[in-house]
Amino acid sequence: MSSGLPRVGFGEAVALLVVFLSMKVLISHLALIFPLGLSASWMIPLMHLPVGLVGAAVIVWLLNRFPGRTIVEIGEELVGPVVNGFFTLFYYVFFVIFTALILRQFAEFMLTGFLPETPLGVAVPAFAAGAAAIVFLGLEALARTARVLFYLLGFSFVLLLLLTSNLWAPHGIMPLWGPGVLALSWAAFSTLGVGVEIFLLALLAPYLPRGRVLAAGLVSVLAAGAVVALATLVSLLVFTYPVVREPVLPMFELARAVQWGRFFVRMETLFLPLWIFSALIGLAAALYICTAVAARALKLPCHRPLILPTLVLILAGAFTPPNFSTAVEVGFVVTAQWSFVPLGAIIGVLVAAAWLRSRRQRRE
Amino acid sequence: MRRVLTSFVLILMILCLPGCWDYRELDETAWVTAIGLDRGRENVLTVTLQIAVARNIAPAPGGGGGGGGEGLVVTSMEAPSLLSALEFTHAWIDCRVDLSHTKVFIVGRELAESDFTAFIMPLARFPEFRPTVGVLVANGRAENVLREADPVLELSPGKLWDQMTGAWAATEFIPRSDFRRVYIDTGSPGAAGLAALIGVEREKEGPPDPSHKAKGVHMAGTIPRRGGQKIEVMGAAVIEGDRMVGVLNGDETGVAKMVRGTFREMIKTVPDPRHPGRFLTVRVYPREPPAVDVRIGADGMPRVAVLIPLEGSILGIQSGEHYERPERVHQVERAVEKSLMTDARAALDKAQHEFGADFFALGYHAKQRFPTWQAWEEFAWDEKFPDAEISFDFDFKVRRIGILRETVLWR
Amino acid sequence: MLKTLNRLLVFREPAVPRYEFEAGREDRPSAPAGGRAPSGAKKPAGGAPGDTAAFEKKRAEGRRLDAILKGNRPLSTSLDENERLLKEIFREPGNKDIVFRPFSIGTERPRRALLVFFDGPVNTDRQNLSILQPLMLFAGLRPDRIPAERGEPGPAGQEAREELAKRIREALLPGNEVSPAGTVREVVEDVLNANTALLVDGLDTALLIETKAWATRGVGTPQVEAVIRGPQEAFTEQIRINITLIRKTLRRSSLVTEFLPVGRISPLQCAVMYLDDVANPALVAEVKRRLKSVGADYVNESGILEQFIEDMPGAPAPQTLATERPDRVVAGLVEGRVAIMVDGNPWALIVPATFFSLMQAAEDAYNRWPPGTFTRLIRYVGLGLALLLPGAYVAIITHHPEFIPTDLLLAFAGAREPVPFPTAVEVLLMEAAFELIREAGVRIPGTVGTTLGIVGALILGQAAVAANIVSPILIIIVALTALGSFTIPNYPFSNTIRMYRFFYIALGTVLGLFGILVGLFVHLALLARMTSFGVPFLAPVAPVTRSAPDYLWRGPAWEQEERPDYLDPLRRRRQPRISRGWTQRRTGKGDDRPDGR
Repeated sequence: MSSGLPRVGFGEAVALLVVFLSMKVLISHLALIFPLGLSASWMIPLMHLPVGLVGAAVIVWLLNRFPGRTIVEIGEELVGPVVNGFFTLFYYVFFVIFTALILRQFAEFMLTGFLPETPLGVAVPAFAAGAAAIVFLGLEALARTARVLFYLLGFSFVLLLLLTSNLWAPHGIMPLWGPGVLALSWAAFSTLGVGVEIFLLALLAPYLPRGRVLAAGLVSVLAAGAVVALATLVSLLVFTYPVVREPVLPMFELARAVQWGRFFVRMETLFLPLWIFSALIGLAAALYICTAVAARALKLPCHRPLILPTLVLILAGAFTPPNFSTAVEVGFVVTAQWSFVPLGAIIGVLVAAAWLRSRRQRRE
Repeated sequence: MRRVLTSFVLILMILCLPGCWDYRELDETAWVTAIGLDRGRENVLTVTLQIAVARNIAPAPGGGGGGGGEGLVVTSMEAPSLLSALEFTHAWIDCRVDLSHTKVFIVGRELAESDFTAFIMPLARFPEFRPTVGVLVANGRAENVLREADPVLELSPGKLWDQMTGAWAATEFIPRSDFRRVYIDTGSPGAAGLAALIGVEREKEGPPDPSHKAKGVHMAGTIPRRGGQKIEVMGAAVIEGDRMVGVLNGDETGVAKMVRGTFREMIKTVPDPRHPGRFLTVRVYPREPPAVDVRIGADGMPRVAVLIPLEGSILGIQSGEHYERPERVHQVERAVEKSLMTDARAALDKAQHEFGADFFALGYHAKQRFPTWQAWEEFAWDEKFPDAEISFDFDFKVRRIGILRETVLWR
Repeated sequence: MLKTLNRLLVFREPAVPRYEFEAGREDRPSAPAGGRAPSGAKKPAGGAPGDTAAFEKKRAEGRRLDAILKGNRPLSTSLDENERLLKEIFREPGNKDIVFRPFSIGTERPRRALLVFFDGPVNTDRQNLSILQPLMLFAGLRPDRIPAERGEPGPAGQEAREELAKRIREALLPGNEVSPAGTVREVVEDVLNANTALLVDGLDTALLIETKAWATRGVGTPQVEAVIRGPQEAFTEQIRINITLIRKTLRRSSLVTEFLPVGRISPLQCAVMYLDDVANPALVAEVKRRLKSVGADYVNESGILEQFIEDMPGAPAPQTLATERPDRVVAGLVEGRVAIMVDGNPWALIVPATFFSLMQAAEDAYNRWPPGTFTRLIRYVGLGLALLLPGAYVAIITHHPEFIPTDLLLAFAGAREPVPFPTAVEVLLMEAAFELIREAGVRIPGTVGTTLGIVGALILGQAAVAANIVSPILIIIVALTALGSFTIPNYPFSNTIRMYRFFYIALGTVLGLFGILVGLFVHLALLARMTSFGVPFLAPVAPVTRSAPDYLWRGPAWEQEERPDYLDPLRRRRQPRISRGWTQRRTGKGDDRPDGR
């Protein structure tokens, strides 16, 4: 029996987080990882993993100190409304830009791969409408839909990787250390921002079953890390290093490369659900972050009224990049390279404040 | 909820208003099954398109289709670039040309030898063209090949090309040459691309000479045959850097495939070690993937030892000698190994000295010796390959002897 | 469409239109003069003469009689008074169904009495033998007590009256169900239920005697939910028989049947059945709360009742499981669900319903688990075909032709060559034709039913292709879609799905698979948000709850160890972990009986 507050189960939360954290392998994220990691690019997600796990644990630690509250209210409690106002503004602006860029990239993907004559002005609103509709229906509907589709997405993803297995060339990941360990570590460090989507956890926590927030965070980070690493690895195996730098949508190129006899070729359409559903879930999650952050900061009981204005901002942002390659590059810079430092700093400040407070309380 | 639903439907209806952008009917599209590219006569390129005529391949049951007509239309044009030629076609082809069902891409030898990458590789960017398309080099002009291509055993040209390029799995003399492989091999340091060679049946027969010749000495365009369809695929074109550097005959292609690991099956005729003028016929399969051992010597030169484990069955013994006996099969094994070694030496000689191109893709194995990409690039495999010390070793085992235990009647 | 658009833009519920004849609406101010009966100079064309006066009179009369019933007026001691009142209520001079049978009770000092009943639904034999006969002939046989004096008012008279009523009830009426009633309303309702009322002069209590003999159909085989293996009984139109069928299958003392009347014009009995020791009390209370609150005019079908009690009226799937099979109801009850039945129709509602329960057929459980699972998976494939195939066909043909194998593509293109319509129009034509055939098949009189097959198969299938109106491939698509929709075991759900496929055709035409997938996503989200009596529609997949392997994959019967968690039943476990006791080596002398009973 349902009660007033939305409730998100463990399975739904993990499904939502995993899709949200790993959907960027479907767009151009990998294409920009390969020039950094060369033939060892598949190690970068694995190197992100420990940081992601620690990050998730830290966020959960912070959230557990204030049960039933999200990061917005916790920030207000810890650093006061003014400073937290800036923090919240940052979350909002960052995720609006994030959503806009992801939206643009998925729309461009559709146009590039499937609907070359459809105007961008149709593909972007179509994605946005689907995402907005589900955010309007609420967090519960979003999480449950993610959960239902999780089977399909997981199956499609594994199927896509396995269907290319006859094309795997083991020399693709050789030389093993790519640009060298040092350069690789720097590449991994500079792209730590790929995990900022874990921020969603900080908004989901009050609706999750108590005591399983940490598990949800860790499991999703692990699963998402595995997904990204696998996608990178298989792309390398199929296209091998220098060529793998070329495709702007490496996973899509994988789907196009599938070839089993004369019947199982040109299978990319089969994997369209993987792209569309991941995109819609991811976009909806990002849109939810924007609206929920704003609603909580404005102390509104419901996020629905904010969907339309936020959507207008996001659409404006999505149409801003003049071309696909700008959208790709800017998207990578914003989401992967320059998002970790400010967000990490904010979380760090909050954690430090919480820690100081708990020490003071203990002394008293 | 109702409001969400209605607003969604409304948005959809608004989307519908301006029209269906990518909506195109099947019968309003010209399905290109093969593209040919040659050095042009009146422009840079001659582009040839082979278009399937669906009306004649699969006539509608309701009558009206007429049927009985040609299943193919071949049209050539002079154009500055391949993709601009596609737009050109609107002038005389009433349907929109679509490349998504293209099966093969054939490049004329003349063009391939002068400029392979500049005209062909840009296709990788074109979404309708996919990495699974077969890339072949015409021994002659691609235009002629496509004009002569006409399915004899099949109805559909798509199936014709699928079957012809798919024959790599049934024989040693056709390399596996889909666009993805050729593209990767030409784009990566440490390997040369291998594209199947296609040609039109030779015009006149050679001088009479009924002595024994291995079948592998032939390549497309020179196969001694009569009848059947007019086109043939055999041998390979080696593409190094941005151009084609030469052709391999059937046997050399077979060796290249064995080293690359794409070899599946072959029937080898080898001289009988005891009876000169008599031959043994053996079917050969790979036993394990080839073992390639690359060492970098003190002088910085690579030393490569290739071991190719094979197995197979005896198909025929002309002399009636009891080679199938357990204690004597090794004689067959040695004979096969010896014959393969001859092919391998010829191929290696071509690779190192004639072309200077590593079409065995040994560089992919050498790559594993290097810890980082920079070290591998600095090593400059392609420059060192012609002087590398490369040894081949075949290890053939007879597994089956067919359905006879021994032959007695001929004695 | 305009109305919804208006509502969307204005965000205001439209004013509810007020109708004049709203049953039971007593507090309403009298109708405006210009309403039903136009007064003044303008005479209604063709109306009955003297309209206004008669109309007002009739309405006043109806309201007065309703007030008597509503007001719980007690019966009078005067038989004549009661008879007059009842005749008025039953509109006696006009109404020929109602019978007032005056007679006298054959006591020493005979008393006037009156039987009131409807001619037809009562059992005449029982009336003659166990009411009239004992009262008229044998009343004097057992004068164990001196009948009281003529009932005069006052405490003494009251006592005597009660004495008499008691004697008649206990000694003179051998019927099995006899109950006293003190108000006019009770008498009227029971007479309407085909019982007989006995009014005795001088008594202010009537005796209501069970004489029901409704005309009913016998228990037949299921017409809609047919199975090959399993019970072949279906509900009938008589609620008592239906409950009997359930009780026959489920013999458990905790099986509770509660009756709640629903409907204002003619309250029909609604039975709420549940297992008191399994079903969650909150669920039972919620079902009863909703049923009690229904202010419907007339509910004669569970389909109407369903619309009054479902959680989300606009949702894209039914939220109750309608079934005509007693065994399905029992299976639901045992899981902890609640069954609702309406008198007079053979469809029971099982609530809460989830997506997976709508996709289950009764037979799944009766087969061994491998074929059970297989048939269930086939059904999900059918669901997918029914919903998406025509849309996906249009989308792939017109937007993603690269996905089709080349030879097939050429075959499609060749077959389409002489067809003058675009693919989307072709599909819409054929799907509409199929819907026509289906609807005609339901409505067609049985005697001419065979013609439909000829019309459908020949004219629409073969001739349409021969005339080059559609391509032959399309016939296959339409046929597969139809087959898919018929594999959905729940008929209302199947109808819903069939309707939604037209949306997907539109989406596929405009944006190809992209449109279809975005649509599907929103569709799924709507389903995910749906609840049925508070239970999420997609449970146990989303939200994840513990459940026996019985939704996509049907495990063997002995693996069904737990009741669905989303029902939150009072008993979680249905079987012990090892329910095939014989597989265990017997250790002690006592055999452990499974605790579930």
